[in-house]
Amino acid sequence: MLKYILKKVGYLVVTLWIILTATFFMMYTMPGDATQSSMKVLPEAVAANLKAKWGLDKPVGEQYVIYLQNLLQGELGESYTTPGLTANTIIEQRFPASLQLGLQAVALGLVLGIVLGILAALHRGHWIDFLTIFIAILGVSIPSFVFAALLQKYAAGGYFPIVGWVTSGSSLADQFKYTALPTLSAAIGGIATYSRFMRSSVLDVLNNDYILLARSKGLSRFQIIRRHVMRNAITPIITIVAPQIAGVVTGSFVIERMFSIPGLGRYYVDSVNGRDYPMILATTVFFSFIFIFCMVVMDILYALVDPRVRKGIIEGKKAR
Amino acid sequence: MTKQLLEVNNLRISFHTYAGEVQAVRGVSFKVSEGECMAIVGESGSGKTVTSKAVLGLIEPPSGEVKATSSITFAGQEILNFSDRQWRNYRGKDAAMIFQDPMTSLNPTMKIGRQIMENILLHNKISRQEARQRTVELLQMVNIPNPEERLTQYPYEFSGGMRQRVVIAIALACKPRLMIADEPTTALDVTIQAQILQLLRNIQQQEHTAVIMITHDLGVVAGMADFISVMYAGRIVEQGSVIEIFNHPQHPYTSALLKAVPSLSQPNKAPLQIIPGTPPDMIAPPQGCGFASRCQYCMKICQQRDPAYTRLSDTHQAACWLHEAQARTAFGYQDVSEVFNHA
Repeated sequence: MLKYILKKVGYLVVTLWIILTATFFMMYTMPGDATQSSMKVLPEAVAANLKAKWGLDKPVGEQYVIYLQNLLQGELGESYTTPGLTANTIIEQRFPASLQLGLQAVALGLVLGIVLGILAALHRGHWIDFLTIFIAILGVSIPSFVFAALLQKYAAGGYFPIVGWVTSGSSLADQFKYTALPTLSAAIGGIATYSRFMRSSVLDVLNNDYILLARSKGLSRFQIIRRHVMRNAITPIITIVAPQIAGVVTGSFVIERMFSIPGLGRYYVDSVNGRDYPMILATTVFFSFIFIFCMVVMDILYALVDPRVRKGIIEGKKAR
Repeated sequence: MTKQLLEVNNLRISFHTYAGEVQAVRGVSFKVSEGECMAIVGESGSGKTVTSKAVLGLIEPPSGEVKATSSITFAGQEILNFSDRQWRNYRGKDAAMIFQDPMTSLNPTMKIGRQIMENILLHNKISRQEARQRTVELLQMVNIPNPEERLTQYPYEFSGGMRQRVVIAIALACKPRLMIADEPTTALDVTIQAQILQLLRNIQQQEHTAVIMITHDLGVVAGMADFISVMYAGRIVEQGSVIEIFNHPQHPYTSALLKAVPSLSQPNKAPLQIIPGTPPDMIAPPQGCGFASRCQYCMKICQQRDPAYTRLSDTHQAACWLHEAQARTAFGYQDVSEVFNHA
């Protein structure tokens, strides 16, 4: 098992390197650079100075080597557009808000999605089933920023503030007050996806012979769901949840912008517009890292939940 | 005389589908006594599995419906009126079931030991330690080597035959008085089949359990059953002791089934005997005898009216118009078996 995890981590590093190299050279082929994209037109001499300072006058191969050297020392580079701020600091400052929003949204999405999915599967054709389908269709087809706007118009203003975010020292009530609406808007897509998946997954499991056997043992409905359905139905969810976690944790920049949340998502877009190479690279590498990390965690979770996968891992090792 | 345990009377079960009402079981009656093995034989779709599920109350509304005129009594109690709680107490404890495919009838993500203990703990007020002890005994009883070790393994670590042993252990967990085996050997290869049948037979004798054995394999029946019910198109067409059915079949379907069993003594290239045609559509079951369209002795009346049972002995009865006195005089035979042998 440990060997398996180590192997996965090895893949993670290699994948990261490929992504970062590809991003680096793709950026190079983009027309223009940081000195041209700002609103103000810089005099030739100033632009040349800046280029020299950032190393943009060197051949691209050399730039790449320098970048890699810095990266290995943990330096993601200094932002062009906000001089004095390094990418490290920006991520450190901005990521916690994105992370909190993302985790809350995923947790809410998972809990509601799974519960709704199970209820819908158990009461197929009843109102709860139709409600779930309704939520699923709404959640998938309407973008989250529309929900955010609707929530701001109708739910916010009284108890819930329209914009703003919490600081680390905020009280629990404040935490709830400020994060509830953004979390809900970011979670709606997840609720929709998970409930649909869970519904079909549970229906699938319920058709299995071992459920019939469980019933013939005299187990109650609740016991059957808890002991025999849940674990078997949840494995497909793990597969879809991992990339979604990565997506929500890193990328709800629309929601961040609408609720004025000081998160990382916004920075990503701004840095692309500003040709802020170190920031683009830093955020890309960081997001890729989170994404691949989630996939690795998913693989491990999968093995924990399903003994057959565990067996595959152990036997795969023997075979090699 | 052994004590009667289960009596099924005029059991009718329908399934409501988009295509219409499928009348899967149309008036089935039989009795099973303690320590006795009754086999239900019939081809796919004849209603044998549905019948057995009804005995455990596993027919699920709203799609499945057990008609109100049906009656199933277990140890003198009408079980079709059971409450949810009564059903749960009865299932697994009084009556247990063994399913067809051991590859799918165990929960893949739960350890074998837990799957067996679950049943024990549910119906007995004993400690986990005692339940564990009992589980080990059960695994020994079904001849699984190293039971202590096997307890903590998952189903994928067992072969098909071993899994079926585990399923049998689950069924035996609470010493049920009735065991329903729904084609317990169909998914297994022939040598394992023999082992599992032997095991079932031993257990039945040791524990004096009544067994309903559902199968389409007459070879299985011959070695195991005391009585046979032959089902066709949702009805029992013939019922009798093993000897009566095998030696004196009194229904054309039973006779055709027996002829379809290949024999070792027949010449090498002899064609296999088959029953031409397919079973009737149970959404619109035929007015007359269900077998009429495939029966080589079919008469006019067969297509118009369903035959009643003709009593041939205390244990033997068959539903066929050939037993009618009119048919006998018209075609000039004493016993229906004469007709079959001449064919």
